[in-house]
Amino acid sequence: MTLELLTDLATPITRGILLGGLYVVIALGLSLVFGVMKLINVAHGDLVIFSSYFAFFAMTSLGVDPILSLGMSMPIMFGIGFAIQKYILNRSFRVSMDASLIVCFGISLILENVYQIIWTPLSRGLTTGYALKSFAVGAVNIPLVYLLDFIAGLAVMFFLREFLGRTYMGKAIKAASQDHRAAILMGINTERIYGFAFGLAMAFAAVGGVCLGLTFPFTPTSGPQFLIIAMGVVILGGLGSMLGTFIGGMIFGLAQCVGGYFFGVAAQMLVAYVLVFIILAAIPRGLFGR
Amino acid sequence: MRLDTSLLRGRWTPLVIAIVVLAVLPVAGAPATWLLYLFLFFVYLAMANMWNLLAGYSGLICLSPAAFIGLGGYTLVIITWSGLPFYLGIIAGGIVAAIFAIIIAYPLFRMRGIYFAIGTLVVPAALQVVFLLWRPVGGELHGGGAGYMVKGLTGITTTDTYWMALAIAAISVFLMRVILNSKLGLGLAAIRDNDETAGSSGINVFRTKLYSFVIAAFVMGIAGGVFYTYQGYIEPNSAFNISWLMTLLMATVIGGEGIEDGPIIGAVIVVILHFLLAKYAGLSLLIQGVILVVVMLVVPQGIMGLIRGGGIHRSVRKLITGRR
Amino acid sequence: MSQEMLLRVNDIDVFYGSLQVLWDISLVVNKGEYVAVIGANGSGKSTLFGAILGEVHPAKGSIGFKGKDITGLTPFQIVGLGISLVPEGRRLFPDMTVLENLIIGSYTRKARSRREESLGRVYKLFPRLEERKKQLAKTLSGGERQMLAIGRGLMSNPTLLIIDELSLGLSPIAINDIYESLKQIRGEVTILLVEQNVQRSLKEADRAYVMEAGHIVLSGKVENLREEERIRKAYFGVKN
Repeated sequence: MTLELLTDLATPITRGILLGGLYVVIALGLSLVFGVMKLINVAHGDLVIFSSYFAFFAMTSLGVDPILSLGMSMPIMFGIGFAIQKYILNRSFRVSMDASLIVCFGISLILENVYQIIWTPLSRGLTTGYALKSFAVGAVNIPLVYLLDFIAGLAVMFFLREFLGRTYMGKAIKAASQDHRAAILMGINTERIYGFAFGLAMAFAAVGGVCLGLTFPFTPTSGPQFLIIAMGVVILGGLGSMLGTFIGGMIFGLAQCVGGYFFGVAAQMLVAYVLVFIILAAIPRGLFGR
Repeated sequence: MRLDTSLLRGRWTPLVIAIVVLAVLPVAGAPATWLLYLFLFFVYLAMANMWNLLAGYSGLICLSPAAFIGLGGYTLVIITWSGLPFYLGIIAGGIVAAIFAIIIAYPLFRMRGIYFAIGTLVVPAALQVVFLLWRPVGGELHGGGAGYMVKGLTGITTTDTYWMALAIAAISVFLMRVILNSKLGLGLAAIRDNDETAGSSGINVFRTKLYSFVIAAFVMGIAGGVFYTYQGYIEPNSAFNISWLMTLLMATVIGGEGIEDGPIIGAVIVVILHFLLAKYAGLSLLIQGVILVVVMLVVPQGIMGLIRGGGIHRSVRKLITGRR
Repeated sequence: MSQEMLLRVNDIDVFYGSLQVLWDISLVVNKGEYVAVIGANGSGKSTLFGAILGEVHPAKGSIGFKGKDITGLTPFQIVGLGISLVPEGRRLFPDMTVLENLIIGSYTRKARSRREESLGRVYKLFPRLEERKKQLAKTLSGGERQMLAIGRGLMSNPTLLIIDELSLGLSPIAINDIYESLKQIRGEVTILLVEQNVQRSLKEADRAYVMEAGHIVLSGKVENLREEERIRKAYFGVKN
């Protein structure tokens, strides 16, 4: 009996671990902004979906493969992110942190409505040829896109680590997130750094959006679901710990896939939500973070 | 709760007059559209007052009003489907919401600041899935869909629902006045400013927050019940929708957070917007979002704050003391 | 010692909101000098340096550096011009290594190209930093932290180095070591030192200013100040 259970579980477990990559990508963008600006961008999920819709647009109207469309969407989203930070969020920080939260909410509303107008509430997906392929490793059946998610997670993580560690800009971002005043005293223009960090987070969101669109169907209101999961990943993994975020992503992927196996696909999100809630209540500082 | 009644005397007259006038309107033959506008205004006002109590006065940025409102609605459904009268359903709705609030308060209040906000965000999202999957009464619906009609509503006129809404709105205003002038109100003000130091001055932070949280949940549950009595049906996507939060956010932000009369102006404007934008149904969220952003950046103290000439808004105080 | 004026604070008032904290402060630092600012807690010393660095803007008066008016500039611009502040409490980047802290010190464009040279200088001055270069800043001892803070300040290749509260929290041996090291860089960098430890700072400085409750109450060459009653009064409770 147990052996059978284990073999049956092998697929959801593997899928869960691979799916974690998607959540890592989404969470890293959120975590970057939170670490540097101490702001939870509640529009982050919707911004990820922006990329999903952009890729959808590229696919259906321009005939460009979603992954290739990243070549366009990443710089565009970087620019959008920089602009949002510079012209809107910056001003809101001067009012109060709560104001920033509410402004992000407003942005989330605006985005969701725009999606609804342009693409209707109908569910969409990035249905390319390879999006439907899967391959088998022994008894385990793995959709190709899950593997892509995992690779994306690793790639983004690796890029971020190198960027933060080796470039002046990256070090400046780290510095600004650890001690804002001291960073200024180093000659760092923290406002510009914030803009850059947010833009970078948006570039990651671009990657996340394409992966998401390939993995799940999405609607104008899909954003908040992934925001909540990303929050859970960030807190579970602990701020500032990339390894932690990676493991957190895996855990959420696992929770979802294994939970879906036991409770049905419809309950997948619920499992994730409950997990987030428990994490928030139990571990205010995350497992790995400071 | 000790009441400082000397402060209250004299401020009640305009309120009482207003209530009497409003109550008489339907009997005096006011047009149905007016009644509808006012009905929505009352419902939103009750909810906005409570949201203001939490966010503006207790420092609890609660993103889960939809949870209490939806629970109020679903309790109404369960009660009416069990053959009991609807008004019991409404009251039970408030009670269920309040009990739910007590239960989730324990894990929620462990979360600080932004984590609390996200925690409250999760709650209605989770409830939405729960009610999508769970059918508390009745059998499988033909043709899918997770909604319910509210039963037991025969014989209820628009006037009846109007009066119920007026009642809960009046109660919410009354509650706000009483609470803010009581010991509870002082405790909340201390917590809002800094909940760590409030604790060290002898205030039981948890219990104080709990009181306002539960009271808010109760009123929102009742307002939800009243709303769904009028609407006649409920379904999980709209019941636990973030649009409730948006509406309340708009009302409090535009009216003035942390200001007692703020929600009144805010609710008025929200209802006006609601009907102005009814034509542009697709764009209404967008416009609301833009308004929200613009107001937060340009007039963060809200209209009442502006009128009062910078009535002490939390954020201004934060700017001066440098606390972020 | 050349008398070329490097820093000139001209009669400034500084307010926090509606609360005035500095009154009519005037201060001059000439190139190559070693100037001390002395005063008890709350005398306004740190605010003064916040003003010089552009973190707060004076309500009246002006601040000039190398002949240029820097009043109203942003801190990162001022740092770019050649002033480096080692802040009170050190304010290191706790989760970055010693090396990373030093490198970020050379963030400004000018400093970046001379990074390796500056790094060599800092290591020569504080060999212990080189030993510990891979360690996280938060694991260092008090004295090492101050060395790192000063080293980091030097990485931007400043013309004027301002050190706020050098000896706070340090053992006498550590204080001594650091002062000795500072002697070595005197020729290359102009130093403005802020201290509660009057005795030690007067030992090294050329000139000093004494602050009390937001005013400068005394100033001049150190040899003239030493006997002044007010110096002794300027820090009640601390051993002479």
